[in-house]
Amino acid sequence: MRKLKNIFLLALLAAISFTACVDDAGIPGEYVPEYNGEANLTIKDLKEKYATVISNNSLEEITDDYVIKGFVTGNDISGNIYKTLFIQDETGGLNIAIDADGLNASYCLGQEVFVRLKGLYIGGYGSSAQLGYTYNKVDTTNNTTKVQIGRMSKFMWQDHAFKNGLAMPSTVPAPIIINNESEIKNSYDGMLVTVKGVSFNMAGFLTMAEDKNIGAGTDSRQLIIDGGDLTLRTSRYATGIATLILPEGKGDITGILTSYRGEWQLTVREASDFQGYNFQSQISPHYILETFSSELGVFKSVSDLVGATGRLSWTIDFNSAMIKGYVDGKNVDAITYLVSSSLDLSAGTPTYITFDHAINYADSKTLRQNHQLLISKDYNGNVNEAHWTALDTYMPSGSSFVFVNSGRVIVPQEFLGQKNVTVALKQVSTTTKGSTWEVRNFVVAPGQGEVIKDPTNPDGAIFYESFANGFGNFTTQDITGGAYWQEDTERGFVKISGNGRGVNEDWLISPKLDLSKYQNVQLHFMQAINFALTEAARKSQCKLMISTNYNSGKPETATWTEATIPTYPTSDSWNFIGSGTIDLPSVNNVHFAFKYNCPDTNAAYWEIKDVIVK
Amino acid sequence: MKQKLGLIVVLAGISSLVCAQQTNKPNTGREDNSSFTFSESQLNEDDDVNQSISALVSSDNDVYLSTAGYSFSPMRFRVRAYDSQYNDMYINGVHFNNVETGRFSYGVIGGLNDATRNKDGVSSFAPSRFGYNSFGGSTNIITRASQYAAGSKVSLSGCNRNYILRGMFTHSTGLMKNGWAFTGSLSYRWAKEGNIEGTFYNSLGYFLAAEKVFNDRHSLSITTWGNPTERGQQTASTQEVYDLVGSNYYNANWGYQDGKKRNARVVRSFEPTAVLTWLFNINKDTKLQTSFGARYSNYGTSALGWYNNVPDPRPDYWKKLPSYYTDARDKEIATDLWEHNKEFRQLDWDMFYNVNRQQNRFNDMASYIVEERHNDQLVFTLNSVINHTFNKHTSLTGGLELGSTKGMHYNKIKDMLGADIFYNIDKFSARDYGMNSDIAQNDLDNRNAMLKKGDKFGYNYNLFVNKGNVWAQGVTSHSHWDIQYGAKIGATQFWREGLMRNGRAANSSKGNSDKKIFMDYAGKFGVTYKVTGNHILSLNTAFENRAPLAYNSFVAPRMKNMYVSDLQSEKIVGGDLNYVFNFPRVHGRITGYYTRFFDQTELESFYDDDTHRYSYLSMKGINKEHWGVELGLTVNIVSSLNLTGVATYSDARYMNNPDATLTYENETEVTTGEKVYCDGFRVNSTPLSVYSLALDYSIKGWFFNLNGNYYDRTYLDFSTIRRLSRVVGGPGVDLGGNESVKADPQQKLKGGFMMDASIGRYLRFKNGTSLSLNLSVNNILNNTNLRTGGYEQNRIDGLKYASKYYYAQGINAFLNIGYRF
Repeated sequence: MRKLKNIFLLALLAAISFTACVDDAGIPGEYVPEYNGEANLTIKDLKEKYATVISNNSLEEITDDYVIKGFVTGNDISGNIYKTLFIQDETGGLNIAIDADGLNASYCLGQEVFVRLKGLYIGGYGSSAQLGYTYNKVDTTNNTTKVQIGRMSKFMWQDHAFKNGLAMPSTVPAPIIINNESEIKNSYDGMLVTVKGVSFNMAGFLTMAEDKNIGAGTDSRQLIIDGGDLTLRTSRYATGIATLILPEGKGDITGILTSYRGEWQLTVREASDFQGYNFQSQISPHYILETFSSELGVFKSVSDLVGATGRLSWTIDFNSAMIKGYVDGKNVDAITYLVSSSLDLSAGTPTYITFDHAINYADSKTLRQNHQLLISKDYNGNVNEAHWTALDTYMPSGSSFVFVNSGRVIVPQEFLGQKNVTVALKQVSTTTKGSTWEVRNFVVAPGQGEVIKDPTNPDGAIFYESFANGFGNFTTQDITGGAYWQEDTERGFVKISGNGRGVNEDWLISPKLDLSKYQNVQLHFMQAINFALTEAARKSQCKLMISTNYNSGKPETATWTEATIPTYPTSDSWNFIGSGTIDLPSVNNVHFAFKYNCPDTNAAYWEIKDVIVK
Repeated sequence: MKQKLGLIVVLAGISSLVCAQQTNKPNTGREDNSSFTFSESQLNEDDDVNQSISALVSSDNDVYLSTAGYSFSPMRFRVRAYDSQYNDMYINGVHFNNVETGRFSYGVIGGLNDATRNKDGVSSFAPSRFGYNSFGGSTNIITRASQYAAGSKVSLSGCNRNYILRGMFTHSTGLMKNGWAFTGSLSYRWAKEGNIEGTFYNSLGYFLAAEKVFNDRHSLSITTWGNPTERGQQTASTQEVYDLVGSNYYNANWGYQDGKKRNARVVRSFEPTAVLTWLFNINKDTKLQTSFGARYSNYGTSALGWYNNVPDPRPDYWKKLPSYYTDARDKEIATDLWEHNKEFRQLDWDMFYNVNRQQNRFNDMASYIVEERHNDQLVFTLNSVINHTFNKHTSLTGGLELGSTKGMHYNKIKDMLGADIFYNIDKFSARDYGMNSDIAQNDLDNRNAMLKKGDKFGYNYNLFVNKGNVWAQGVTSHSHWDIQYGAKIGATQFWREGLMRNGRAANSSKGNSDKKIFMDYAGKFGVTYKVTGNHILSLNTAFENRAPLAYNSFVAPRMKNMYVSDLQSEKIVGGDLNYVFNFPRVHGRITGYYTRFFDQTELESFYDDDTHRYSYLSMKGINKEHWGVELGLTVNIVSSLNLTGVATYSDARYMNNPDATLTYENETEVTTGEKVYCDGFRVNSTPLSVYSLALDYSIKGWFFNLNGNYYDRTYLDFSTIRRLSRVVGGPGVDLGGNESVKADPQQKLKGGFMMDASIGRYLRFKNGTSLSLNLSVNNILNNTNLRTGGYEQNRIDGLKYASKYYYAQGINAFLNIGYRF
C-alpha cells in the first residue's frame, strides 16, 4: 500500500510541472519611437531646390545634410499605393519610392517620420517629384539603359528614416478640400486632398480596375468634377477597391493628388476613401460591355477590301482595341471595321451606345469621316453589302492619346425592335494619313441617351473651339512685331512664337458670345509654353483678356480687362496643361482674347487648344 | 485542462489500490531500446511531416520488419512505401485508425511505452486474430490488466531529441486471487528546448486498466488513457536559409517576445480514450471478444495569421532572403543580417504587438494573430471477434466492426497579440471584393462578427463518418501445405455539416451535404508450402475495394459541401512471394511483392503566392504501383554474436496523370478539366533503397549493438500545381507520336550512411528486482546532410520558390534506466 503514496507523489509532480506552461513569454511593452533632431528643410523647399531636375525627369544625388519631416498620408494599406509612401508637412507632399511590401505595418497613416536625405536621390517622374534611388531602365527596343529615379531599397530606407512618436487619428493630416478643378494648385502635388462632388465616367459598367488575372497593372478611370475632369488611378491588386463597380451619382473622394506630365491624378488609399456613393453590386444591364483588356470579345476586325487596297486590323493594345494606320514606316490605304456580334434589340426599349476613345496622328479635317460609329440592321458578314447609318459622337482631338467619352449616343428609333442590329467602328486610313484609334471600352445598354449637340463640342459646352482645324471663328490682330498667330492643323492647335521677331503684341480674339442666359459661365483651355525660362515670363507674355464692349477690329477700340489664368505650366515644355477655370461675365456681348506680348529676347512659344466655355 | 489533470491524479491513485507481486519476464536490452526509439523519434507526431511508421514493427520474429521499424526510423522509412492508412492499429481489439485521414496517430499513446508494450503484429497477408488487415498489416496493442506482469517499474530517460527528459512509472497487480487485475502508468516528457531551437515539449501521460476475471469463461476489462501535450514544432526551410544560418536544423517558427523565445506553431492535444472489453470463452474451441472504444480528441495546431496587407511575418519568406534582392549591396546587407543577426532571422513578436496596438488606436482590425486550427473528433467503435477451431487443420476467425465518428474542424483565435478587434472575414476575398462584400464573409449569418480570443472563425464544419463491416478469415493447415483465405464486406457513409454560411458558397456551405455511401469489400488468398519446417515458401494475393477518405472527398472542405466529382472507391490488388529459411546458423526471409493502387483521391490545400489565393487542388483517379524485394537475415557467428543484414530495393510510383480540380478559397468558381502531370513520379519521403548491417553481442547481462544503414532513392514531395496542365502546357506530341509535356522532374534526394550503436546492461538482483541500463547513440558519424524529405513549395516558379527540406538529426543519444520492483 505504500506504493500508493509513490504513485500519488509522481502524479502530483507531473501535474504541477505540466501546468507550468511553457508558452509564457510576457507581453512586450509599447515601443514609442523617438527622433532627437530637427528638420532643416521643408518639402516645398526641397522641391524648389531640385525644380529643374524634377521638371526634366532626371535625377540628382542629395549631397547635403538635409533632413525633412512629415506625416504619412499614403501607404500600401490596400495595395492601391504600392512600394511608395506619401508624407507631407505644412508646405507640401512628397512621394517616397521604397522597394518594400507591407509598409503600412510600420508606416501607418499619421506616422511622423524624419528623413535624412543625404545619399538618396531626388528626381522627376512625369515631372513630379520623387525621392528614391537610381534605377537603370532598360529600353528593350534598342537595348539602351537610361538612369532614372526609382525605388530605394528597404535597407536604405531603414538607414534614412526615423520615426517619431506614435501614429494617432489626430496626427493624420487633414485633407485639402477641392470643390472645383480651378482650386487645384501646383503645390498640392503629392498631398492629401478631398475632391467634392465627383462623378464617374462609364459609371455602372466598369470596375475601378481591370481583372488582376490579365496581369498586374494600374488602370485609369475618368472622374468628372466641377470645372473639369481628373484621372483616378487604381491598382488591380487594390484590396476592396479594384473590383468595385464605378458608382452612379456624385460623392467625395479622398486621396493623394499627383501630377503626371501635367495631368492631375488621384490615388485613394483604401475603400473608405470613397464617401457618399452607393456602390452597386451588379454591373448595369447591357447588350454589349467590352473592356478590351485581353480580347476583342464580341467584336471582330473586318477589312473592306473593295474600298481600299491595303489591309489593317483591330487588335488589343494596352487594354484597348486599337487600329494603327501607320505600319512599318508607311501609311496604309485601308478601310477597317470593328464589327459587333448581332444584337437583338427586339425589346424595343430606348438604347444607347457609349465608349471612351482617343485618336492620334489624324488629319483634323477628315477626323470625323475617317473615324465613324456605324449601326446597321442588315449586316450579314459583308461590310460592303450592309446598310450603315453613321451616328454622331463626341470626338477626341485627333492629335493625342487623351481619351474622350463618346457621350451616350442614342440608337435611332428605326433600329429599336430589330433582331439583327450590328454596331461598328470604321476607320479609314489613307496613304497620306494613317491614324491610330484606341477604344478603351464599348457599351451598348438600355436607357436614355443624349443628343450629341456638336460632335466637336464635348459635354454640351456653350462654346467650344478645339483649334484642330484652324482658328475657327476666332480672329487675329497683329499689333506689333514680326510674329503672328498661326494655325497648326497638322497637330491640331494654334501657336505663336516671337523668337527672333523682335518685340511683339498679338491678339487672338474669340467670336462674340451671348452669355446673358447663363449663370456661372467658365472658360477653360489647354496651353503649352516653352522657352520662356521663368514663371514670371510665362505669366507676362501669355495673357488672357476679357471685354464686354468689343465689336471688331483693333482691340484698342474696346475696354479689355486682364483675367488671371489660374494654372500656368510649371515648367517650359511642349506638354499641354489645363488652364484652370476662368469666370466669364453673364452679359450679351462677351469676347475673350489670348494676348501675346513678348520682349526682344527670351520670347515664349505659346500653343493653345481645346477652348471650352460652359 | 487543469481540472482534467486533477481528475487524472485521483484516478491514478485509485489504480494502485490493489497490489500484488508476480515474477518478471526477463527482457533483452534490444527490445527495450527498440520501444523507446520507436515511440519518440519515429512516431508521427507532426502532422506536417509524413506519417512514417509501419504497424509491422511489432512482428518481433521477423528480422526485416523489426529492423525496418527500429533502425530506419530516423529516415522515416515506410515499409513498402505504403501510406500509413494501410496499416491498421487496434487497441484491445478496437480499431483506432482515424477514419477521416485513415491513419493512426501514434501521439495518442505517446509516452506510455511501458503500458503499451504488449503488441500483436500481423503482416500484410497473414491471418490476424483481431481484424481484417489491409495491405500494410496490422497491430493490436493488448492493454487488458491481467496481461501485465505484476510489479512496478520506474524508467528515467534523458536524450537530446524532441524532449530531453522522460519519467515513467508503471504498476501492475497482475491477476489477483479475487479475479481483479489493475495496471496504472504515468509518464511525463519534457524539454524547455528540444534538439531543434525554439521547440519545446510538455507531455503528461496517464494510463489505467482494470480487469475482472469472473470465471473461466468471462472477463471484463476497462482501459482508459490520455496524454495532454503541448509542444513546439519545427519547420522545413530552403537550402539557402540553412546555408546562411550554417545549420540544417534552423527553425523559422520561433522568435523573441519580450526577450523570451516563443514558438508560433504549437500543438496542443488531449485525446482521452476508453476501451471496454468483454472476453467470452464460449467453449474450448470458440472465443468471443467484444470491445467498445470511445475517444474524444481535442487537437489544435497554432499558426500565425496576418491581415491588412502587412508583410508576411515568416522570417524565411522568400522576399526576405538574399536571393530575392537583385542589387549587390542589398544582397550583401541581407546576407550579413541572415548570417549574424539572430533576431532578424526569427519572428518579431514585439513588432506584432506594436502594430496591433497601432491598429487599436485607429479602431482597426488586428494585423497579426495566433490562430489554432482544430481537428477534433468524437469516436465510437465496436469490434467483435469470434475465433473457432474446427479441428486440428482448420480454424476460422470472424468479426464485426461498427464505427461512428464526428470530426470537428474549425479555426480558433488563440492569441490576439494585443489587438482589440478581429472580424470573421476572409482576407483574400476582402482584398478582391472589399471588407463589406458578401463574398468576404466567412459566416454570412453573422456578418462582420467581432471576435475575441477563443472564438471560432474562418471555417467550422463537421465530417461524419459511419463505417460497418463483417469479415472472416481462416487457415487450413496440413503437414506440407497451409491455405489462408479471407474476405470482408462492409460500407462507409460520410457527409459534411457546415456550421458557417461561407460568403464564397452561400448556398452550399451551411447545413448537411448529401450523404455518400461506398461499399467496402476485400478478399485474400494465400498458399504456404513447407518444404521442411526450415524452408517455407508462401504466395499471397489480395484485393481490396476501399471507400475514399472523407478528408479527401470534398473539393474545398473548409468552405463548402461540394464533393469531388465522380468520387470513386479506391481499388488495390497485390501479392507477395516469400521464402523463409532457417539454416543452423542463418535464418531469414526473402520476399518479392507487387501492389497496384487504382483510383485514389488526394486533396492538397495551400496558399498560392502567384495569384495570392488560398487554393485547393484535388486529384482523382490516381494509379500507383509499388513493388520491391525485401531481404532480412541473421547469421549466428558464435552463440552470443549475431550479424543481421537487411536490404530492400523497391519502387513506388504514380502510373498516370490524374485529373485535377483547382478551387480558390476566395472565389466561387471551380476550375476543372486539367491534369497533374506526375506519371512516373515516386512516392515521397521514404527511402526506396535501404541496406543495413548490424552486429549484436551479448554476454553476462551486457548487450552491444552496432549498426550501419545506407539509404538511397528518397524522393521529394512534388508540387502538384507546378505540374498542372496550365503550367506544363498540356500534352504535346513528340516525334514518336507520344504524349509529351515539359513538367519539371521530381527531385531525388542524395543517399547517405548512418551508424548507430548501443550498449545495455541488465541486472537481476537477489530480491527479485531488476535494473536495466541502456545507452544508444544514433548517427555516431554525425551525418547532418541526410535529407529525410521535404517538399516543393506549391508555386509555379521553382527557382524563385526553392524546395524546403527536412534533415535527419545529427548525432544523438538516448539514455534509459529502468528499475523493476
